[in-house]
Amino acid sequence: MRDSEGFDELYLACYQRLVGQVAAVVGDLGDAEDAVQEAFVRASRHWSRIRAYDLPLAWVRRVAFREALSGLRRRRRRLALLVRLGPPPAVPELSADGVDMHRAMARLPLRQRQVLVLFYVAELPVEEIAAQLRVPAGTVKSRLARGRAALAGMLDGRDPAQAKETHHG
Amino acid sequence: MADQDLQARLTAYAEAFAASTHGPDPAAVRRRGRRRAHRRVAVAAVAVVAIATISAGLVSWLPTRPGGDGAVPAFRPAGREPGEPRTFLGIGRNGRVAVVQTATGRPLRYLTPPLVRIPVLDAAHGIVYYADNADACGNAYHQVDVATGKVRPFLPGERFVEALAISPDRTRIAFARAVAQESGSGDAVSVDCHDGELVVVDLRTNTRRVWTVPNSSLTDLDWSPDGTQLAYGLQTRDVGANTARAYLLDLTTANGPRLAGRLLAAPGQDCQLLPPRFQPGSDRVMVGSTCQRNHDQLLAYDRHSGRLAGRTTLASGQTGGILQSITFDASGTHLLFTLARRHGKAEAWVLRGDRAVIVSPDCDMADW
Repeated sequence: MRDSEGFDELYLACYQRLVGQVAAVVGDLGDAEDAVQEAFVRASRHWSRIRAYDLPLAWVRRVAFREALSGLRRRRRRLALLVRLGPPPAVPELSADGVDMHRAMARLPLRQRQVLVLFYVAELPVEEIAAQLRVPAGTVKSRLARGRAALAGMLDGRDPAQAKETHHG
Repeated sequence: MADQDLQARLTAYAEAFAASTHGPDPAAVRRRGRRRAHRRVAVAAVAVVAIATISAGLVSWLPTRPGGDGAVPAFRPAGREPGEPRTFLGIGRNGRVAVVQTATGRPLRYLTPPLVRIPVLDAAHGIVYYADNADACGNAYHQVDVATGKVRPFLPGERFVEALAISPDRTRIAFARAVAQESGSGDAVSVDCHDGELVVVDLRTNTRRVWTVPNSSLTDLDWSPDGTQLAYGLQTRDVGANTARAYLLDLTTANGPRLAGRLLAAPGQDCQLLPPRFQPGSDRVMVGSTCQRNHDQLLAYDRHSGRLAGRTTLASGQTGGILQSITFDASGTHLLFTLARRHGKAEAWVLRGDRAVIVSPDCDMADW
């Protein structure tokens, strides 16, 4: 068996999807690409071990999210790249809906964004999200409920505080 | 809003990002992984060679003085004579760095966490080494007891440490730390690093002096040879702003709590600064500047007046790389610097007078 057996398949099948998920949380395509590539580079180094896992993708996703959330390293990397490589890559053209979503997500706390993306976009069950984030399932449910109410409220044109009241009311 | 609507809109939002990205070829990702593994071993090897060389007093490979008189700069850590150390850092199983017994050649202990950069040497307290990414805002420093090989945290209880330097007489430590706030838990911890602090600890009296600088990060520290000044780099934390500057702090006159050093170098928007370095045996402090549009430069400042005293331009036609690090030997005669090449490899060069000479064609990090 080749050392890289299965790595290329996982990468080709999941790279874009993972970048989308991470970008939806951090709101920045460049940061998401950096984080996901870093996660795959690390996965390739330890592939002989990781491929034996039930869900190698869960490992890569966890590393990518963690990497994306390391704020200072991200900023430093960006500064270095800006100086050395010139202007940043093009960002996607978002539809009007996408712009609304971008603004609404930016106003949510990071942990709620993360849970929303893992639940709705990655379609992971609550237990798996809890395992990935290493928090109790109850915490995931509460973040999900609050995030959902706040996001829906903002997309419907309501204030987040109002949305919160509605949720609790 | 219905759950299904929310899911559809959120998914479309994520897919817009996904559709805009095209990652590198998987083979390229695997190659990067392999290169990184090799680099770790290479870095460890360079560190081991540096320490072993210093420990054994084997300095004959150093380049000669510019005058060609054949003299070799003397460089030995204080308080340690050649042949005396009972241990040295060596490479053990799987390329991991270990503290090795000189007499038997047996590894006493493997470094955990592993060494990822050339360590700060400190003869009085063992070897202090650097491990990456302890916190989102800082790194971890560990101390190796050279007699037993035991490893323990160098600054226990301190978090978000961004830079560390030990005074030449080994009586004081200067370190920079971030003032940070954490939110969340587990993998979802988010850290907001804002102000920066410079802390100087006197090990004899265990007293501390602390200076604060708002919304900035102290990136590097270097002690003057007489221990009266600190040179440091400062960068604002604003995303996208490139405002790296180099400053000089006179410890005999500096008052707190606000950090107010003397500005040395403030390069343009497309430039980055390298850690400032004092030149032993002289009144100069050297700052490296690497720019996108202009040639990289080595700028020498007078450490008393703060004025620019000299400038060496590294024309890309001459050296063809991006300046990465600068360091003087203990005599201050030679300046060693590394250059990153466009194809990914790095080179080590020595500045002899005004002339740069390559000493290693493949060297990610280098130190005397």
